[in-house]
Amino acid sequence: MKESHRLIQEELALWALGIAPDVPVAALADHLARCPECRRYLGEVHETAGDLAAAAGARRPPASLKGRILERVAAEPHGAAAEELQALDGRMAPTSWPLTREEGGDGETAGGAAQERASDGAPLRELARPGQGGAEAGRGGAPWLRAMRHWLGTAAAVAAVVFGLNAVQLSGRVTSLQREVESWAARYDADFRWLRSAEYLLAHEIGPKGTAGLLPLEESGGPGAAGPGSPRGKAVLYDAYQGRMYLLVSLDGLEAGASYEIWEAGGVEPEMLGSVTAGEQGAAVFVHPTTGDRVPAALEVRRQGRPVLAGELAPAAPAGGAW
Amino acid sequence: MNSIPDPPHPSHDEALMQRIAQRDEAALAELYDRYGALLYSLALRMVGTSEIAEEVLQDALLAVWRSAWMWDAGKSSLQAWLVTITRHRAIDALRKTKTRTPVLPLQSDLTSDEPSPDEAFFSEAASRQVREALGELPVQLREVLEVVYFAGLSHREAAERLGIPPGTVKSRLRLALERMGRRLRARGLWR
Repeated sequence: MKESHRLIQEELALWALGIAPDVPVAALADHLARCPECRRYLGEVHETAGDLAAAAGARRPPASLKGRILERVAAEPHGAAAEELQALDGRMAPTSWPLTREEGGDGETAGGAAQERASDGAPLRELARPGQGGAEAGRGGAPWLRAMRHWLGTAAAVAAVVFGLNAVQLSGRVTSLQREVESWAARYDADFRWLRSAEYLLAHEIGPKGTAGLLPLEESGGPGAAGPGSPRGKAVLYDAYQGRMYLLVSLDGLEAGASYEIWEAGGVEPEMLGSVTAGEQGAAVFVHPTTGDRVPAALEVRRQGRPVLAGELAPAAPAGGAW
Repeated sequence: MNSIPDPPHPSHDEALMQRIAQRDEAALAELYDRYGALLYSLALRMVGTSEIAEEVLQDALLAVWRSAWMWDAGKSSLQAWLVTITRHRAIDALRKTKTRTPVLPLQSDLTSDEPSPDEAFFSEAASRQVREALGELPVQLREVLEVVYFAGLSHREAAERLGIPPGTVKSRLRLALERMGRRLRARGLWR
């Protein structure tokens, strides 16, 4: 085993046991994304830690504890799942890596919507997601989820008045529908958990180094402007560790299913960084690792060669997460 | 050597967790019956008092209730996921109370007065096998596992407790986990 892998695995062992590693978590995440051996190691350590619990002995909990737990659960309000996600984000050593390219491998991706393109040999990772901003989705429920809950409640009240339905029966049905929506929303969130965790970690551990608002260009009256809303976007640059940087570009208001290119526009010769395909709700996220000497000064988003959005990267305040 | 009960079939765990994700309280009760003794014993071992261990288990199972959908059967066994959540909650409790449980040798028998229910997968036989595997580790590796895993110390706190450099704690921890994994696999405990 290479020395570097051994050292990384020492950090992974800490992480798997809930101890903050000595190296930035972003560095571990970056290594894991590229190293199947260390991913396998993390999975094994995680399972070993699970089995090791049996060595603690076998004590029966007090008989009343089960009832108390079930009482607490019964009193649990809906929507608490999203708060729990927030609490867990960044603490659980991840065991899945949906946006990866194997070292020397054939470009493993998972999650269906994840694709990979490379324009200059640097690993590019992109993700089209069918909803609004990921960080928002984890805080008290996504806006569309809140709207859905509100709609269900209103619809039930109207139906009860108009059709004279049995209120108890109706209430049960609405609760069931709300649970279904929450379950659906939870699955949706899970699909993008890794990326949101990465965003959370980067924003809270490091803080953005630069940000860019990507605004519609006046001359772009073409297909790019035909999305469900006005196209818009934001780019945030994080100085993750040792000169390794991540550029996260979040877009919405795009045309569902359409492909968009992300271009670096600040240099003498514009260069394409990669492309994304908008999800069903017209949103997409693009993640681009880079280095300190190759930071884009300005970005353009193009649709079929025509610039749709543009913005210049400006230095951000040193602390706090802007994403 | 005692044989241990077969672990729950993974598809059984998946079905159970799907029901919990859909807010089926009976499913959570079933999960409690299956893993409650294991998780409570771990929490008790870490925090030292039954009162705090009960709080830890309550918090952990509430977290499971809220985030059952986050568990991915393809990436982690249910037991490992539950143990991770419980350990995090126990570490939080230890930091909150600023107390530290005396690090007891793992061979000390905590089970003689209240054996776990027969119907639970977690059994004294499984516990004994894991302890046997631990007992086969060199003492230097075992003591690192004891203070980090069961006493909830960070590697720096463990270094101070054991009087060795933090880097040595890390390398011993990695070695200890690797060897434990091999021994557990050899005993058929690892899924």
